[in-house]
Amino acid sequence: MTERRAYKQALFAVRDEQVALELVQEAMTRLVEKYPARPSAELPLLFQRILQNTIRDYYRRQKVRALWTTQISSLAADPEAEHDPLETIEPDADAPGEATPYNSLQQSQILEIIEQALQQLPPRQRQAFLLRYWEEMDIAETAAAMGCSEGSVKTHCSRAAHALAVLLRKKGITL
Amino acid sequence: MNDEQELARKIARYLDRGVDEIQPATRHRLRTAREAALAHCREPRWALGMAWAGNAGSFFGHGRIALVHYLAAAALVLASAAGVTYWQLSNNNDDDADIELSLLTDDLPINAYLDNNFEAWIKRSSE
Repeated sequence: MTERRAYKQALFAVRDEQVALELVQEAMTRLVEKYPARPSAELPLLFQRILQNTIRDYYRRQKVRALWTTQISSLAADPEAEHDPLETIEPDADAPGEATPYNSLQQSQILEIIEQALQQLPPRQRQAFLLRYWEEMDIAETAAAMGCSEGSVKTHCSRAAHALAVLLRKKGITL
Repeated sequence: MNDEQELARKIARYLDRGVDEIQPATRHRLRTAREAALAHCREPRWALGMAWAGNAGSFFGHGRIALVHYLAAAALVLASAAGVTYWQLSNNNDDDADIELSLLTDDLPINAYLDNNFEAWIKRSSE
């Protein structure tokens, strides 16, 4: 389960399934190579820290690469950007889990919108939000994993939650 | 629980659902990567030591020709260093011999007698 969550975190960050898989794999390898003798209780936090660093390293490499390549694709219009999935769904305040096919489809669509909203967040906000609320780390652990102060974690989380609420509201969704 | 936490909790539940919807092929790759990492972790230290010893053994057992080459190269380096040192020492001796010869034949330039160090050397030599 841990590696699946890690994969999703990497996917939100890099938006490429293959790259996300490779980053998780790299983080796992780094963990066992660098900390083979650490107590198992410390491993989740170490793994998160390594994963975040691995994602950050990937961003840096991409930034360097971007200096040498023209990003024509970003100038081209994305026909899918015009599509608004909310036109087809009715927001439901209930939590996911209802068994009917209709609800299942609806919740999948809401999930897609949430994932898209997460991808739109600035990286540090997304990171803080996911570690704090999805990985259920406390503020100190999140700060350790991100390599920043606890104050920064609180700020990032608060801004992320606010931005997500706004993005979802714009799409007509109230959770 | 404040609004931020309430919203975050609900989003987290949706995200959990997203994890469950990961494609089987991706799950398989993740599981394989995890198992490979764990296998690496369980590998005992002495096995790594033995692996190193095995490599060293093969170096000395099967790499005799390579060993001879290393020794020959080391000998060449040592011989070169000895040659350079000998050459430097013999050059210094030649300089001293030239000065002594000039002194004996009274062929020294006048500046040599004005040099304090040279005068001190003459006195030391005569004592």
